Amino acid sequence: MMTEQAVIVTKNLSKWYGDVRGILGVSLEIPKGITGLVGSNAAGKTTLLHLISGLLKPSQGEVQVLGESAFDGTHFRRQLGLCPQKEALYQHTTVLEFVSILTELHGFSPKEAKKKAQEAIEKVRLSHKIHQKIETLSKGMRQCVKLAQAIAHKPGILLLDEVLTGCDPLVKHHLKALFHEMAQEGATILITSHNLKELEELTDKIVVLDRGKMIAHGKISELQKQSKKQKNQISIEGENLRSLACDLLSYNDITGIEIQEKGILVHTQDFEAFSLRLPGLFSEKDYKIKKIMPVTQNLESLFRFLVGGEH
Amino acid sequence: MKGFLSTLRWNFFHLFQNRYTMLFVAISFLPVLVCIFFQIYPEMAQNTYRVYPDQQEYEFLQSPEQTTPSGIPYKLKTIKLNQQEIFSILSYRFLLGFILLFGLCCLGSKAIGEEVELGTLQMLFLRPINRKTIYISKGIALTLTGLAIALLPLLSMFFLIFRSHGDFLIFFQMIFIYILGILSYSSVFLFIGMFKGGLYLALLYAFFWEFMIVAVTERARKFAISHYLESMVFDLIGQRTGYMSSFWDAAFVLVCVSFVMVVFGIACFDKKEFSFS
Repeated sequence: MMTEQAVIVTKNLSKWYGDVRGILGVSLEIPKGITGLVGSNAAGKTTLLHLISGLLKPSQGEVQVLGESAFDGTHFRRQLGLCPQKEALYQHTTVLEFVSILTELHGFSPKEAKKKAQEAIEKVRLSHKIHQKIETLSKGMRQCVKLAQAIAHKPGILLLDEVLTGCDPLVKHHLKALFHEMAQEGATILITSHNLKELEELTDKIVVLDRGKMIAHGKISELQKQSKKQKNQISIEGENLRSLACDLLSYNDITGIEIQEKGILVHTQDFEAFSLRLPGLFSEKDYKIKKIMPVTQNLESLFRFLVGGEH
Repeated sequence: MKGFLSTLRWNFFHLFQNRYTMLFVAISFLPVLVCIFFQIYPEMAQNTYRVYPDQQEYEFLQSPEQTTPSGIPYKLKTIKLNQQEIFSILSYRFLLGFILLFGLCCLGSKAIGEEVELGTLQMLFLRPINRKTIYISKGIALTLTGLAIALLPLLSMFFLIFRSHGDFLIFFQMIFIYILGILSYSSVFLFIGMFKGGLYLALLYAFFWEFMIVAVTERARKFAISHYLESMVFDLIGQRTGYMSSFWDAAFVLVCVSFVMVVFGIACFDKKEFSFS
């Protein structure tokens, strides 16, 4: 049953490419606002976006967007915008021509479409290149052209596949603000990114995919609560740390130590006891400690925890 | 309707950014050059046949008797092609039966395949337009492009051959044959182009079936579009031979072929899954 706020609903969704698994048994409901789609390479992020946009037909299960079947429906596409990962552009056309004609295909008159295209191009900060041919643009600018065609008709649902890749920091900052603005206006945005830090800045809701399976879904803070184990990791940077590692292993609460490039990562069952013990340990020997910090509970560490450190 | 026209415009965008289109526009003027050549050297526009003693006209021929290397006597008969024949043969054999056949083969088979490769087809699929409209608009864009490529050389040949006193009926009849030919070739190649390696399949079909196999047996000919186009052209100039179909029978077959291929193509395109990853 679709909840009141869910715009996109998938039920037991699977997609196979011959013998290769794209997506397996993904059931999720995506409400309004920004949702991040996290996963390593070949996790099935693009496949999921293509299934939601109706470009691919599910091998099993179903996808409903605004209550309509994604593959067979056409009406929901008035509300849909997709910025694909692949460069799907006509190189010999100008930015304005390309965005205008695609906007026209949403049922607008050529005049309306041109106006909307100009607004969208302005939004992605490409106005100064509006009459330039696409083949002459840089990768970041082409990315903006793809985004402009996706937002020109003011869609209620926006699917963004690695949209910030190739953009410079200023443009990235501006686009993030644009996505926040669209989400506040009631849009549903599903965004994939390899850069988890960027994703964390955009949203607190994530869907984590790993090898085609959905392994977590929800707010980052809630997922972090589930992964309490993470809290008990302390990173120590400095010199002569192998000796410290040997000393630490004699304590019962220490469950493991990882030797890292700049220091060591200590796993403990009792974070408090460990913290109290540290000053005594450091006064006994000259360890030359540069930095001690608990492993931050950011999206990246959560992702590593969720996928079991295999990536 | 608005959506259909926009889709049609998009498809023209695609066709005119294809490098083959301009190439075929240029090549389509080659028959015009041949036509100019015949105007300069009219004696070249004639055919010579051997007539043997068992044929009735043998004794009336004025030409000297010659013998084959095996000693069989024959006389040579020279027939000068009339203007109508030159126009029909040049416009069929060169323009429609060769240049447009291979032109539409390349353009038609790439109309869908290349858009899948470029990823631009997904841009169409993401709009609120059904796939039937996309397919039909592609077919129409291809047919109109084929006609646009053919029209200027056809007109040039017509005025070069008939000058100002030309019989426009033959011109319009030829345009009718072109419409049917381009329509049927477009529908076949658009359908083939939907599948992976469509260009190669289309080239194989065009070269080995439409161009070569038809020359082998009369029965095989009946399964090729080129046979019906040839029948229409030769019926037009009154040179239809035994195995050929009549003008209207051939026209009917071509309309049926186009219709069936379009319906079949729409059904496949509507359900086919394209990968844009």
